[in-house]
Amino acid sequence: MTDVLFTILTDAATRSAHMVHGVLPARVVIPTSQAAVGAVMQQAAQQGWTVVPWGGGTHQHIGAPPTQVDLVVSTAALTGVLQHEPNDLTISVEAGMTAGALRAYLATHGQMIPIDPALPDQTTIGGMLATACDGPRRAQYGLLRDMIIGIHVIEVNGQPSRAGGMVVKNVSGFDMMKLYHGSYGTLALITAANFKLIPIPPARGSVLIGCADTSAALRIVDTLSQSQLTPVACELLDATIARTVGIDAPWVVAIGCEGPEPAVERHLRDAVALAPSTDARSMVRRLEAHDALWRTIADASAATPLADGELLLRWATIPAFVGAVLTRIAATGLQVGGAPVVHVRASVGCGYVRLTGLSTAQQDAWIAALPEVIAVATTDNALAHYWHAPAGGADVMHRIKAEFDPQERLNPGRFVV
Amino acid sequence: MQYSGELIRALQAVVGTRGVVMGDAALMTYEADGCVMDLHAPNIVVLPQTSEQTAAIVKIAHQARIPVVARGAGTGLSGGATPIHGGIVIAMTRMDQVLEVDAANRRVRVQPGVINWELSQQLAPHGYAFMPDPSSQKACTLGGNIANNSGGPHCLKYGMTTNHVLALRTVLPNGDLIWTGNGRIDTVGYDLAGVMTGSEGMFGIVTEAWVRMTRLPEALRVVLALFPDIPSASQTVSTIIARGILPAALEMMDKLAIKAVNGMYKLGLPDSAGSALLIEVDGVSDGLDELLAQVVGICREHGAIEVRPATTAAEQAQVWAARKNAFGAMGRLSPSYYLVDTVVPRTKLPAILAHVGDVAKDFHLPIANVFHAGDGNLHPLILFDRRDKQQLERALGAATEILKESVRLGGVVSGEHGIGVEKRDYMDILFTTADLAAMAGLRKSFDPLDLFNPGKVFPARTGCGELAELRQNAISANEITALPSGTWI
Repeated sequence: MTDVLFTILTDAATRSAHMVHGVLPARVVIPTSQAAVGAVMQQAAQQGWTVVPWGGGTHQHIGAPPTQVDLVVSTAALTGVLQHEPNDLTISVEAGMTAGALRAYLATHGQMIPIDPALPDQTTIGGMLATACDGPRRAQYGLLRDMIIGIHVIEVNGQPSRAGGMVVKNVSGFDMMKLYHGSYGTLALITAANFKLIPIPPARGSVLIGCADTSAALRIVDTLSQSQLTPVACELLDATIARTVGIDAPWVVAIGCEGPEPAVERHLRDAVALAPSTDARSMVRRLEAHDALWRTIADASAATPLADGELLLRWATIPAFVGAVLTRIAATGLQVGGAPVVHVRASVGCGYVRLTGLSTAQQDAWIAALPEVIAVATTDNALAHYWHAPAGGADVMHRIKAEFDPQERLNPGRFVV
Repeated sequence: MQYSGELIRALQAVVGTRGVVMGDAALMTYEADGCVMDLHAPNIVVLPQTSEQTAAIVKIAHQARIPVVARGAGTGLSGGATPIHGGIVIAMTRMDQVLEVDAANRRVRVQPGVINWELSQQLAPHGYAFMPDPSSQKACTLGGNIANNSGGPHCLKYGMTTNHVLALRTVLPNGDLIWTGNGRIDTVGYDLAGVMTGSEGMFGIVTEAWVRMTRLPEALRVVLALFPDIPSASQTVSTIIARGILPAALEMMDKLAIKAVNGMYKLGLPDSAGSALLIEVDGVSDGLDELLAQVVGICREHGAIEVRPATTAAEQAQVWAARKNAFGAMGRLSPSYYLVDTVVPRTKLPAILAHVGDVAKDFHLPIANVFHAGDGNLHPLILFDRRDKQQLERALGAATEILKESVRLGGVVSGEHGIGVEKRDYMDILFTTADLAAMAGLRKSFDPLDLFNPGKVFPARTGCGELAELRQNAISANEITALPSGTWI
């Protein structure tokens, strides 16, 4: 009668490959078009199924385990470029395209979306949007939040809707892009998004400065931030991560620069001069060495999948409080254990700490010790809290959730709302 | 009654007798903003001085189910501050303090009545600026900028207001006073500051904001390039963008606009110029001259008849003043103008400008163009005489034609001025009922009683309440929205 738009998969292998934070889904669907996602969601609505949207699965350990997973809707087959206007510097892509595939595609046109998630070959655009994922270059370019110009979603009842457009400046209607960005799949399923593009700058390079302690490192960050230099990244790496980029120092400040060649050379020169004179261990990396450096840094906390007893905390504060947070992380490490491995988007004031060998109680202790935590990734299914309370507006957030998903079928129980 | 003596006394108890404005003559000041198509006076105007007072006023209005419209300087061009259903206008102009300059964290905490230009003046000695710079920046307020997600010439490189808002203290329609975050962008939960920015006063009233301050560039270069016609300048813009150069600003004026500003600002531009591009590049000084030379080369490639660098700060200020005050200069050419704000994909600039030329002929009205070419953000100025009813009709007709063509070319109906009441009936040529219903659902989450700035953004024929209800019924029935015919594109 009608074309079959999707197939419901119930085999054990597919289901276990889409295990959501320890919960085995009853079914998995991998729709091959946005229309098919609509049809799937309509059927889920009629059946009253709970739905977990799935991109590359790289962020499924964030938040609380879902209370029930009747259906995983994977975007793995939504990998197309829908529209690319190279001379307008805009693109529309399906949500299941990976960051790596998109990067490679755009590079052939000399263009980029300047965000570098961990595990780019698995992480999808939809997943990055849903989790407000960041990367080292947010220091200059911000988050996908700042680059997205349009969005297509399938709402909880299967209704497609969209917002924004294919222009770089637009106040026609409310900013639904910001609503779905960072909503962890609790309001609708993102099927495609439009972005503004940036030409790949002609030159790039970076400087690594080894420092004896955090205060020396933070002084460099502060001097850099107050200067008129515009580095694209300014990352603080602890000794463990520093070793992975070939430097032996308690802390390393990694400064990334992009732009016209003379501007990049100037940045590199000035950045090298920031190295403390007593401890002038700075290194310059250019071209492929620069690229490899930042790939390693982007993956710093996520190079291996989270094992049991491991905890990955994403935290955010203001730049001036980074030192205090680092002190608290060190103190908590001594008190609670967990061998913290830390890297910080230092000029922005946010960072990650990865911990190992922790019991449930120890994980709870860590989260409690850091009110700056904005996302918790763990395989543990018994933590007391997976989210801190929102700073303000919790009532409005609950009303938004009730308006978009009144039956709480989208990612139930996982998010703060 | 709604506007009883009791209500007035309650408001006076919050802000004092001098903080409550009544009387027809006084209220007439608040009957419109910069868009004077639909006028409607409020019943009462209240001028709070604190966040708490604002919350108390809203609580009173909420209890009495009275509409509330927040107002900054009233420079908006889409009728966003016009109380089309009457009610209380809350004028934020007395809350005009810069509360905290936090250079260590590159942010500043402001009250909503702070004037955009004055904020950047205050930050300049610290070496910083608030980057969004609407042409009205000498009068418009930060609260209005946030409500409209305002742009400006420098948004090409630095982004719109939304890219500079970190956290908002807001009075919600029920009178609750909340902070959306601690002054940083990463928060737990939904991005309330993000969705509130650009919500045109329909989600909350901003009473305080943490906004980003951006380090002033080490160096900048400005050139004014003159072209024989519009297509050559449009092609230049496309080529600059396509070659991977991101100027800080890339502004265009056509022949009519050049004529208007030339007289007023003594720019001495030749009458033969058919269009002018104002181009600014900034950054560290290293390599900036090479970048400028590249830009100048592209201008010449496309037939620029003259390229004038503005080398001194005074020269730069002069060309920028000419650009930013171009709308005012139109007074030299016509008693009234209708400024249309629309956006097309950048490569469609030549096509839309040709269309604007045709529309001018068809409707027998001169149209000047002064706009943000680098963003594809057009501002056709339709010159007419308001006293002539026929001319007014033709001006509105011309605007409709231009907006429809923008959408046909892949554009939208507003780039930076907002929808308000002016553009609300164009929303359904751009969006489907389902798209609008989702926006209505978001609005309803903030304002279930439809009290904050009612009647804006959503088409008059299918209002926000109706759309939200349609959507909620569909969701409860687990069906997709039944769509009225003829609204899909």
